[in-house]
Amino acid sequence: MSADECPPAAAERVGLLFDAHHQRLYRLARRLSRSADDARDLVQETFLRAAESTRSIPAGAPHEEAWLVRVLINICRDGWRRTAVRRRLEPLRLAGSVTQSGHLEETFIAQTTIWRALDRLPPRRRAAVVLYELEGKTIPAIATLLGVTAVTVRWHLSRGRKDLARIIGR
Amino acid sequence: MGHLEQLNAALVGGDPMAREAGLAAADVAAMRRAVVAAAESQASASFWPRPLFLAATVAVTIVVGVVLGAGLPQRDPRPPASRLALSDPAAPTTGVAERRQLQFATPGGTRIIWVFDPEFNP
Repeated sequence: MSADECPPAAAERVGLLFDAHHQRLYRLARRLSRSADDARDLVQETFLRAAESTRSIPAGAPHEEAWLVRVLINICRDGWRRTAVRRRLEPLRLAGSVTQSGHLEETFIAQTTIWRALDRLPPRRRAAVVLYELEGKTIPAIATLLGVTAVTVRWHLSRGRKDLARIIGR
Repeated sequence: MGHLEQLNAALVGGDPMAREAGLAAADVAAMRRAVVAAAESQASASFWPRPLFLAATVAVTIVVGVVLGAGLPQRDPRPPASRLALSDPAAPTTGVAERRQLQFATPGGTRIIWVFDPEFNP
């Protein structure tokens, strides 16, 4: 985008950006946040930041997506830092009581527990785990999206899996 | 089942995107309107000349002014001729000790002639 871009062109570009990426971004945001409302706010904040700095968004769909993902994760990190103290003081509770036996209940408890445990991971690590385990992205693709090296992604995956596996194994 | 498989199964099974509908169409439309409006206002604000552009414009204006000013005819640095005669027409125009006179008449009709001594040094 050129520096002398007129307002309609900037708005049109942001509109196209929104149309192309909002669903994908919402999926990631939902998996990085506790509730659908939080995810919605996260996506809106991401696109508002894009609207504020359209000139800094690189051209091309993959670059645009990576830029948006990084902005989204940075917003997550801001929120994560704000709630860090509360998170440390709040013990991780199992999702429900294990008084009822049965495979379905155990599965539900394991799933809920693991997703609560995800809240404790730093956003970038959580994003690496989500992108790899749920979206099936390759490590180089995750590295491109997050703007880090493949080694860093492997390290985050390894640490994230260890943390989560430890919780499952309790 | 190993830990990694258990982890993956728990993540996939608890994935909120698997059981939620996702963004509603109304939410998407409202969000899009807000984002586009923000982009329009932001672009309008930044469409006007920024400080660097303003500084460049001022510099160019100054340079153009100096160039045009240099091309104009020079004004005579000597004082304009007045009704006072300031020279002795009889005196030679060349020579180191040029004598100058100032002649004028008073309202009463007296004619006064001042002769300036070029070697006068108070």
